[in-house]
Amino acid sequence: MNNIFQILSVTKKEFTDALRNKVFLTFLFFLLGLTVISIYVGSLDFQGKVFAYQTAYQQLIHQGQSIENLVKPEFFPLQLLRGSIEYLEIIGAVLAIALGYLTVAKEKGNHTLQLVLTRPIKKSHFFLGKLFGNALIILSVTAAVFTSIVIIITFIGGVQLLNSEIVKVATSLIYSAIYLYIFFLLSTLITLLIRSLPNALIISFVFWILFVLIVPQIGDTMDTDNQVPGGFFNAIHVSNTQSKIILQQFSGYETARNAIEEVSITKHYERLVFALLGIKNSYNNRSVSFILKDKLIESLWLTSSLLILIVTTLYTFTKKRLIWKE
Amino acid sequence: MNRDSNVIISTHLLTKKYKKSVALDSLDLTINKGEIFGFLGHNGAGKTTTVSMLTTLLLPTSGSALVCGFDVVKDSFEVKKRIGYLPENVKFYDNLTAYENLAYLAQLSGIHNPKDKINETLNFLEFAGVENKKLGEFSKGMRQRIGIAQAILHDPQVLFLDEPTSGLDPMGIKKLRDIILKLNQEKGMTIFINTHLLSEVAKTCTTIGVLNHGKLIYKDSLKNIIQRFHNEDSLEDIYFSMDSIQ
Repeated sequence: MNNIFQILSVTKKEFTDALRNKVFLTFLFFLLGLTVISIYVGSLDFQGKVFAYQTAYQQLIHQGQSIENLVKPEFFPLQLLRGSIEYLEIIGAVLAIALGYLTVAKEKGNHTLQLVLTRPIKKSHFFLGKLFGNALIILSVTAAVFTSIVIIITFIGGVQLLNSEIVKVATSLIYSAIYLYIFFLLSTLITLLIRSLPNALIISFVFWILFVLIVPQIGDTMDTDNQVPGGFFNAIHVSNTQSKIILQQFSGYETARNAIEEVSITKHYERLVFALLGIKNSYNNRSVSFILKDKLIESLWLTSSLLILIVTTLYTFTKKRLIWKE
Repeated sequence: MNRDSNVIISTHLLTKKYKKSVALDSLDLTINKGEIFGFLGHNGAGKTTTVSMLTTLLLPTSGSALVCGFDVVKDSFEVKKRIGYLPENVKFYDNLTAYENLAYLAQLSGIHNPKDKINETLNFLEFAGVENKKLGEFSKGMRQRIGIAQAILHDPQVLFLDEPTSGLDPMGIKKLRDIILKLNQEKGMTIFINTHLLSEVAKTCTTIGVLNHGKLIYKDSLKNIIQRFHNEDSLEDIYFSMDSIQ
């Protein structure tokens, strides 16, 4: 019982520390603000499509022409989350890196570990308290983002989400929290391993630039279909089946492109959540269980990275010398 | 290893080696219950290394040490239950108030309802009324007293103080000295003080050990030391005489 009490004391402190941290709160409000803006921009884009459809419809009727070939714009409300997911990928990861750095730096930099580690608390329990506290913070951040999205869509957009869509949002929330927690753990591990705190922060951001910005961008740039709005093959009137046949001729190129993307945890997260939210059209109207089964590899990448990092950081904290004479 | 019931700290050939140097060399030391032990030595003599091993923060390279009858390596958890520690230039969570800092550290020591204990400790230290101030606003002397408070919250048997007067003004030093004597006399706490200030040792300690380049060169009661070196004018001169013996 005493162990649990001690762990919870550390958890509580981590949580309240974050709520008192002005930098953290600024980033959080920035993220929430961007989420609202992205939903608004997404809805304006859809309104534009509806307007274009209505204009074309009226023109065709006015000219007495057939409207058979006019395609109605389909509305998938979860697709409005695309911008928010991209902000979570980039800014959310920065927030998680900052949390990971701070959780170690505030003890190492302040030399408070001497006070903590001479008390009857196991090192592993102390660190578990920190891991739980930050998991709670990250879960709260993602919950705040997704809840604000649902509120905007439901109460401002006037769209009633289906139960299946709410399940998809909830599943995306869990994977978003896992994704952010991976960056938190990565930054925690780096700050534990590197004695100089400024260097640890710089290296953490190098990983962020690499995993979040560079590697996914290389993969996207190498994707021919991404080079033309609406898709390269679509623009030259090549069907999906035909495009697959063509790409088989470039299998080496595609393998290399895919391998580059596989390196980035961001890309795995994006593939999974874009499928869940139907941002990738082929997954619209699919059930959560179908999508999770189809994207099992992405899910495994995320969960196994999470577990490996939890074990590694816990091991590092308990085994590594962290106190140095000033 | 001394397991005498009156002995509270004992070390046998306690050694700490780093890559290129020997910080502590085969220390044999015995401290009895209720003593105020002054551990003297130059900067870099190995005093902090010794305290770090006795407080379980650092593992010895060889040798052994018992604190309150428990081995600092094998039974470190039991040792931690019985000790209090004030590091040199103690640092706190400056974003928290004095009460929040003390409550958090008390909870880590397993005190479930720390409020009464904090009030009792601050009253004992004649330092009540500062609970709601943030530590960032405290002077060095005030921080040092909160440092003592965190170290004694859980009523330890042994209190380790590493250079406790470092950076304090004369008034702060006087207050700290009074606290050390009060803790020893009223709570019966054994106190282990690392210091290089001989004047402080003379005013507070009952026993003195002198460490030089990682080796204990002398240990005796203050009374015996003054008798033995009666020709010396001051404690400083005694210290230099011991140093020259080596």
